[in-house]
Amino acid sequence: MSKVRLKRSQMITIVKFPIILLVLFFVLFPFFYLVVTSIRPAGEFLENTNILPRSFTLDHYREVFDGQKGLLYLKNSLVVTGTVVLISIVVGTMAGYALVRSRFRQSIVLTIIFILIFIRFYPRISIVVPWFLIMNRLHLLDTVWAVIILHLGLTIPFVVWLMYTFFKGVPMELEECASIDGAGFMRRFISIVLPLSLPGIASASIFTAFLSWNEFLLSSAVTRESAKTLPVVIAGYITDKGVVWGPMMAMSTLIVLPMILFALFLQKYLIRGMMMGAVKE
Amino acid sequence: MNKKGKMLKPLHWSRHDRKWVNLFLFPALFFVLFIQAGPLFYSIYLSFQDWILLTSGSPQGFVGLTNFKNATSDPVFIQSLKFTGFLTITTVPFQLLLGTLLAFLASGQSRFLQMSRALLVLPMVVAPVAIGTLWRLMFNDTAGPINNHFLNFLNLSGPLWLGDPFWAKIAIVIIEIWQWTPFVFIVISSAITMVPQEILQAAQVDGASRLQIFYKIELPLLAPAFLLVIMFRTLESLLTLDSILSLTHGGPGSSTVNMTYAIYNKGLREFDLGAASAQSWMFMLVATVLIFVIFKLTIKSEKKTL
Repeated sequence: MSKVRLKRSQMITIVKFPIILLVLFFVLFPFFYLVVTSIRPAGEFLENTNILPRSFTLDHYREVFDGQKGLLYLKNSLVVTGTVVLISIVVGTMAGYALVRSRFRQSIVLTIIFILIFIRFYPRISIVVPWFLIMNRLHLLDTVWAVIILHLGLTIPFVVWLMYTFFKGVPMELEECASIDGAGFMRRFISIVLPLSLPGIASASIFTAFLSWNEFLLSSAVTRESAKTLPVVIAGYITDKGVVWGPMMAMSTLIVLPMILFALFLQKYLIRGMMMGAVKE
Repeated sequence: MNKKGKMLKPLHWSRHDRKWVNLFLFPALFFVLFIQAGPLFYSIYLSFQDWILLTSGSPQGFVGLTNFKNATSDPVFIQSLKFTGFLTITTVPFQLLLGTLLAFLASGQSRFLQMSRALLVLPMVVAPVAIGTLWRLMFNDTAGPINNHFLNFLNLSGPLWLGDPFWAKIAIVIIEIWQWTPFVFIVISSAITMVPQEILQAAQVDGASRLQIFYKIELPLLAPAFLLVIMFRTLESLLTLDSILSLTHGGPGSSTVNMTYAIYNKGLREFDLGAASAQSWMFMLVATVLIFVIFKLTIKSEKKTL
């Protein structure tokens, strides 16, 4: 490389770093401020406008958990997310595998792909009113089961699609050998396919957890009080009379934290899910 | 390697295997039909009914296209249509531009860049409801850091962000850009790493300038990724709800109510089930056209990987 080139690339680096640092500041500051506010004493909210509070307190967290059924809501969110991940992974992985190994005509496969994409993007608001009525009639309104059922409709197509694109990259030779050796369908699936698909399952699980944990629209439609999940609770802190800042910030910190940890430590898996296999590594 | 032959006869399928394949597909099919398709048809039925849940416990009869006609003269619905369009047109180009710029800036192998890339993704993994609340705090005119620190620092006096119809819209545009630029960033970043280095080096040897390389080589190679990102973001921005709800509550007035929000209010606050269903189907038609474009794009990239 010539001397001139080297200088130029150094210059680019010198310009690059401050810009990236500035962008990082704008990306990270709101998170920082959220956490700081959640431990800021209530009296300081509108009076002390410094970025850092004069003193710290855990009152808002205590308030959320003692007085306001915070533990129940947290439990709801955990139960919903856990159940949804478990069921969608089992059901979705099976279907994804069957789709790849089935010898359906191309037109059928295309139709299935269209349906999967349609469910990914269509205005979900359309099924909210019908489900509200159906859950009401089934006496499931305001139960975690209602939330779980609705979330499953959302997550299963995602998992099917993810696992479908994943299984397409898994070579068939191993299964063929096993098949010649007399291993049946289930045997091949459990002892050959599943171990190979663990990265795909990890992606799908984390992504499903992300979807279910953050989901607001469907959950809010079928819950009133005792089955509320965290996003619904947070939205509820904003009323026409005003905003309950402290508890809202404490709850927001709680809902944000797990996903940030996922993103920092298991980013590869989470991102693969978000791209829906649109971008291959 | 004899790929065609394999495609035709992949395994020694027995009739037994075929049964298993169907069995494996069935639960997913059941869930999708039961949870998605059923209610969709139910909402077609509802859209032709006169039914306000607050006044009657059952549908009050078939009313033809009345609900659809009413929607076209409903000021909030028309307003929401405009705001939905506004939001898409203002946010998607910015997300695209900023995300792409960042992707080029932050591409590289150094520790610092790798860490930055991991951190830059954070806004899009967080619940949109929480994004709304945390920016509600940022925009607060008496205590929020935007007016009191950032704009103050630049010697500007900030507007009453969430109290003014115009600035409330801008606030939503800002948080949408903040939350979803990372999505563009991550897609374009990984697309950049797939551009073959040999081509770039060959062009460099041939004396192409950096700008020429970008326009003549990188941009065309990145075109499919751009198309995909544009479609993803366009559709998703039409569906925005949570962040608006927790940032502005649709206000002031109904200036920041978008279509999803308008239908949500109609159905779950006013309980006018017929009108909400009719409006949601009008919305659906627009979305379906866009979804079809995505489908075509996906099929194209699917065929390439086969």
